[in-house]
Amino acid sequence: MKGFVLYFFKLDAAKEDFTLFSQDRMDAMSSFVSFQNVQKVYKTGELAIQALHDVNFVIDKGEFCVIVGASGAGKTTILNILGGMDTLSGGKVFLDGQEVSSYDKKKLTTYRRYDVGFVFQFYNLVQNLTALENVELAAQICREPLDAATVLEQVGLKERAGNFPAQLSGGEQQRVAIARALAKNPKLLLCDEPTGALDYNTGKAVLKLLQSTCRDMGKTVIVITHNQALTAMADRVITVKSGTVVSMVKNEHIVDVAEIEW
Amino acid sequence: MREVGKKTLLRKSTFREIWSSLGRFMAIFAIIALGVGFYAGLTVAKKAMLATVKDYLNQHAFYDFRLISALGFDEESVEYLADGASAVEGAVSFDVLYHLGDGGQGVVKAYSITEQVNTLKLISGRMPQTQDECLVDSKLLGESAVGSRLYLSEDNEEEDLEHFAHTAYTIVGVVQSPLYLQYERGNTSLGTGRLDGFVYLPRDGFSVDYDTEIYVWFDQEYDLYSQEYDDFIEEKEEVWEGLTKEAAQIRYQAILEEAETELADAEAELADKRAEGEAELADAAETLWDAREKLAEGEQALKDADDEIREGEQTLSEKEQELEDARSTIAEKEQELEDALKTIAEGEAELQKGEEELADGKRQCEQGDRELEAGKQELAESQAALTAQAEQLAAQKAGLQAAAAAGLISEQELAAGMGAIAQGEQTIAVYQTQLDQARQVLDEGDRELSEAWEEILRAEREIEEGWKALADARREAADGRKALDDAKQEIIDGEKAIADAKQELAEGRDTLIEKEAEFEDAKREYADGEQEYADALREFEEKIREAEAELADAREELSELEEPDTYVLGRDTNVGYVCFENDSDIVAGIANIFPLFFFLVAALVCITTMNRMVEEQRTQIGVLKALGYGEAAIMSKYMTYSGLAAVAGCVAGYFAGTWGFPKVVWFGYGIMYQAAPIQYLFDWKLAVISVTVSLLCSIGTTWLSCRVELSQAAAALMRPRAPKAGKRVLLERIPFLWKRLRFLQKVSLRNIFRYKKRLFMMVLGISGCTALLVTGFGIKDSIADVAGMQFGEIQIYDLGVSLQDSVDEEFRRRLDELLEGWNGSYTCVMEKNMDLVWKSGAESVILITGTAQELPEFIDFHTEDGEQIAYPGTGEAVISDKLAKEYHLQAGDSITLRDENMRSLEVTVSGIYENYIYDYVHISEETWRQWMQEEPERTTVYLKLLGKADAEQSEPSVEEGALHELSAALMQLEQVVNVTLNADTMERISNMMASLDIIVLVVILCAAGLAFIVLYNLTNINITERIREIATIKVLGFYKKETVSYVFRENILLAILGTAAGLGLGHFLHRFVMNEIQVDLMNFDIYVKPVSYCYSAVLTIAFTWFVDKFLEGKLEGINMTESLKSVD
Repeated sequence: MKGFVLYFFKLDAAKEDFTLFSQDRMDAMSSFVSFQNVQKVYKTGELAIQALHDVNFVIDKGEFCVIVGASGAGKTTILNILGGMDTLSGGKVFLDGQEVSSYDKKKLTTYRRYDVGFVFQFYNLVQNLTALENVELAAQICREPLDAATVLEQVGLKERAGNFPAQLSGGEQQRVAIARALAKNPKLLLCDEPTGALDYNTGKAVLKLLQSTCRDMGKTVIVITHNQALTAMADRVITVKSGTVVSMVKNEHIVDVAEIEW
Repeated sequence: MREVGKKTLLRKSTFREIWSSLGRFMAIFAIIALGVGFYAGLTVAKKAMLATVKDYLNQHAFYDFRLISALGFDEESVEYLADGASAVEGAVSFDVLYHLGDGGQGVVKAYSITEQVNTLKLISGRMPQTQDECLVDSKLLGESAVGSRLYLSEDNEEEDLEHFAHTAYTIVGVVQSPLYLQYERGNTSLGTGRLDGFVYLPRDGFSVDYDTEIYVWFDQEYDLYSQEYDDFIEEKEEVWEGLTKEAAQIRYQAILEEAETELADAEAELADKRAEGEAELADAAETLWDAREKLAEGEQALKDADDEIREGEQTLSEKEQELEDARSTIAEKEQELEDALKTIAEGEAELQKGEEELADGKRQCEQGDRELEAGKQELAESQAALTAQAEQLAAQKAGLQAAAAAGLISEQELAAGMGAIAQGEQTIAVYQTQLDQARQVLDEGDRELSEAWEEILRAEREIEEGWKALADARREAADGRKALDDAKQEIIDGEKAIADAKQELAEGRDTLIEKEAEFEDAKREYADGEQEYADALREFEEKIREAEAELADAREELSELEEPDTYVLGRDTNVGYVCFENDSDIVAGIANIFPLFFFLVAALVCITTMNRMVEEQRTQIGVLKALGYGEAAIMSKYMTYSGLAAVAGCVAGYFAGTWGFPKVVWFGYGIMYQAAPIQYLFDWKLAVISVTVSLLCSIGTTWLSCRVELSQAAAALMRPRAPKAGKRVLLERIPFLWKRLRFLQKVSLRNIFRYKKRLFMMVLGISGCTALLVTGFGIKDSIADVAGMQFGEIQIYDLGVSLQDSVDEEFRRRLDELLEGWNGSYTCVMEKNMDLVWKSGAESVILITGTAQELPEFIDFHTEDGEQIAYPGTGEAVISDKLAKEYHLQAGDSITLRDENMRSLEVTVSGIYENYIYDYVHISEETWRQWMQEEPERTTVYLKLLGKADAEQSEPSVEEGALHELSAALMQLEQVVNVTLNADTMERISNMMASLDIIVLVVILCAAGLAFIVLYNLTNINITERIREIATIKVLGFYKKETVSYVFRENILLAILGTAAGLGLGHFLHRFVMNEIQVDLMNFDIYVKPVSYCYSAVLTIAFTWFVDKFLEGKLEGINMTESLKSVD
């Protein structure tokens, strides 16, 4: 199953050194995505749980970034905050020069609507809509959506366009989900364990799709995973542990998806 | 121990579950509560009403039998019956016209106050203490009437007034009577024909010596209208019919005996009277005879008196004549006397003159004597002188001659002297002659004188004699005078006597005249007496004849006097009692259909809810199963969950419903019924049914839901359940339509059809809500509009005027005067309560006779479909549709009507017209005349003022104020008894119907509750089921509004669908309910106004909107991180 759907991807040969997280690159204005001393405290009654503290990182535009960490490390919280699904308790978050952390509910919605595309672990397709319709669902609320059918074709599901999610395999469903996220033409593609519910090969294929999306379409893709193996294919790897970023590394030796094993 | 622990943990888990999914728990709780509340509440409402009324009736010893006898009953009758029941009491009741001294007049039924049965409920005031005090109907007069007086009208027939001991009674209290449970007071033959209310008088307040009815009361505890009661009464009735007959027999016998005695007495009296009368007449005849004799005598006496007077008069006139003669004689005599006196006087004067003359003569004689003497002396002297002279002369002559001779003297002087002596000688010679003559004369005088003396002596003698004669004459005259005076006196006396006689005579005449007048009077009197006698005789004869006839009649009557018809009337003849059954049936009718519906919905809500719950907890079930819990144990968790919700809901609903519904319904009925506070009734049977049904709805459905899941293997359960596949809907196969839909609309449509169960439930719930609303509004429309239809489209006149007597020309004239400037028209009809004779009895209807020319202008005869109906011809009748419906009458059928005198009238139904209030039979006047051989009594006038009620006419309707003015003016007319404004009636009925608003409100509230629970529950399920989907679209950047519409568009669509279905369903539900609540007297127009459909639809949509709004918060609360979770 190695080399699955390779035809779809172009191998990016660019190799960069892993560089250590540096303060000067932390400048919000210069980075595409920037987290500055982000804190998140969940309060449930008397109890306050610090989910995130002193989270600082930046992601450049067009990068394929993997945020990795164990279960409960806080990566999902970062995703939520970055995705505009949750607010933060302290610090600042910038995207493309805009301070997302200052957005109110409505602005956050708009932010999600136009700037972020999501890919969920469990695809979260609307069961009642066909593949194409699921893409359209996202496309129709955007300002400059890509053509749903085209995007679907791009992810290789032209023939399955009229099928309902239940009639698709997991990989296909995830591709529909990716197509749905892409159709919105977002600034950022956020993927939450995109391979979590998929088998190995399918997962690889999906990852490949994501990588090529990043490379070919120049989209900034952030993948959140617990799977250390995926860091190999990332431009940038941010490691989260116990609610904070323990390392941010630029991957100088990007490995092709096909070669990744887990 | 293990068992216990397991169970405890499961129970713990169950309670935690309840706590964590309170909304779901509450949904089941609420729908069960609503269903049970509605069911139990409505079901118990009737029972509670019945129980309340039963208690009220028992408390007031409402009669079981009302015994009536054509002859009434007397005390012995009552005593005879007394042992047969708990209470037996005679009573009197009469209808009577009354007024309160304020110009108005009405009819009340006056009852005697009974102590043991039909006891009164004193609302205010006190019970009467004297026989001229009374209690009045609380519906008729308010508390303020206490202290005022109630007068029996002068318009009452004398014989009606005779029933009462007084003509005015002081109102001392306001009461409710168990005889009148309901507002209806019944009809009467008096006045307007409708009773305004009742009054209660002490028994002494009536002056009748018999009871008109006997009330019998059994102390029993059977339910009202129950079969047990019917059986009980039926059994009693057989006995009592006999008893009543016997009781009536007592009175009958008494009357018979009394009549017999009376008859005998009367006959004896008649004989006495006859004898007495005859004697009196004989006396009278005798008296008359005497009178006649006396009259004759009197006449004679009068005549005699008259004669006498006439004679007197004659005499008087003779006397008068005599007197007159006497008077003239006296006058003559007087004249004579006068003359005589004159003569005497003359004689005297003459005598005196004679005397004087005599004296003169004497004097003259004496003078003569003296003169003669003197003459003789003178003569002698003169002779002497003359002889002297002559001697002288001769001396002288001689001297002269001497002288002459002497020639002393011239011749001439001698001649002159001799001539003067010659002359002297001559004169002496003449004197000598004269002296000679004088001597001669003296000598004569001497002779004459002596003659005169002689004469004088004679005269003296004569005079002497004359005086003597005169004295005689005078004496004689004095005698005459005396005689005359006497005569005069006599005359005066005579005159006086005559005057007296005249006076006497005049008096006599006066007396005579008086006597004559008296006589005339006497004569007249006599004539009168004669007449009187004749009259008396005739009268006597007549009276005797009459009395005889009467006696004969009485005897005949007595011989004809049959044993009186007796009736044993049960409670089912009491209007209030019967109506209450009907009216409480309305509630039961609603109770029969609605709860079924609610329970169906409740079951569906439970099944979906529990389904959802079980589905949600698949994994948990799997885990539990994997852990080794048995199916029963696992299932018990869910059953406990739903069971608890159901039982809690059931208990809450039961108590709220059984407490609240009867209260509300009773409140509504309070307007029509005398409201004793409703009792709370706990019905075990109902409670058991409620719990059973609730548990069936909850646990049963839970079991169904669980069974499917539990049958799967634990492993399968632990795997997430494959989401329900999307499906194309039918509509997609019609690209024409599908393409037109917006993308999200397509999504909604797909979603709707994706969950069919939910679709069905939602539609059912919402349609149920709409149907309930339509029914609720419809009930109001159908009932409340009755008045509008009746007076707006059928009885299209404005005023109904009741008159005391049949309309006459005088009244028409005055009416015309009143209507001047009104531009109205009127017709006079007869309105009469008649009985429609039917196999099973008789139905009271109102008969109206009119003419084909006039009446259709005032009453619009049309069928339900609006088709006009011709006015009935001779022998035909047009009847109201309810009557037709009730007795299955059709055009062409013949009906028999009977009046209070049992005269009947048979007519052929020619048409059936739409009518809502009361039952009417219309016939033409001609028909009446033909059957009854009399003119109809046109005591009702319909007045119509132009412009009103005629939809085609654009003229504005006459103002109500003006109508009231006219009404007041009409009331002023003497003949007018009552004026009814249809507008007023309309308002009154509408007010009455306002009580239905409460029921409608209840229905609307229930509908709202139903809608809310169903919508909330389903939407809630919908949302929880799709939480990931919703979270996802939120993550995708759907704005709040978009998200809401994404989710709720389905709701709205389903609501519309449900509403549409509900409108249809409501139509039928309403029809069904209305058929259940048909009420006597009124024919409901089973009709729902379009606007009510609109209201129902709008309200349903509003409920949906409200629920959606309510759930929007929940939608808002959905955390987007849900989207990141795996499928449960």
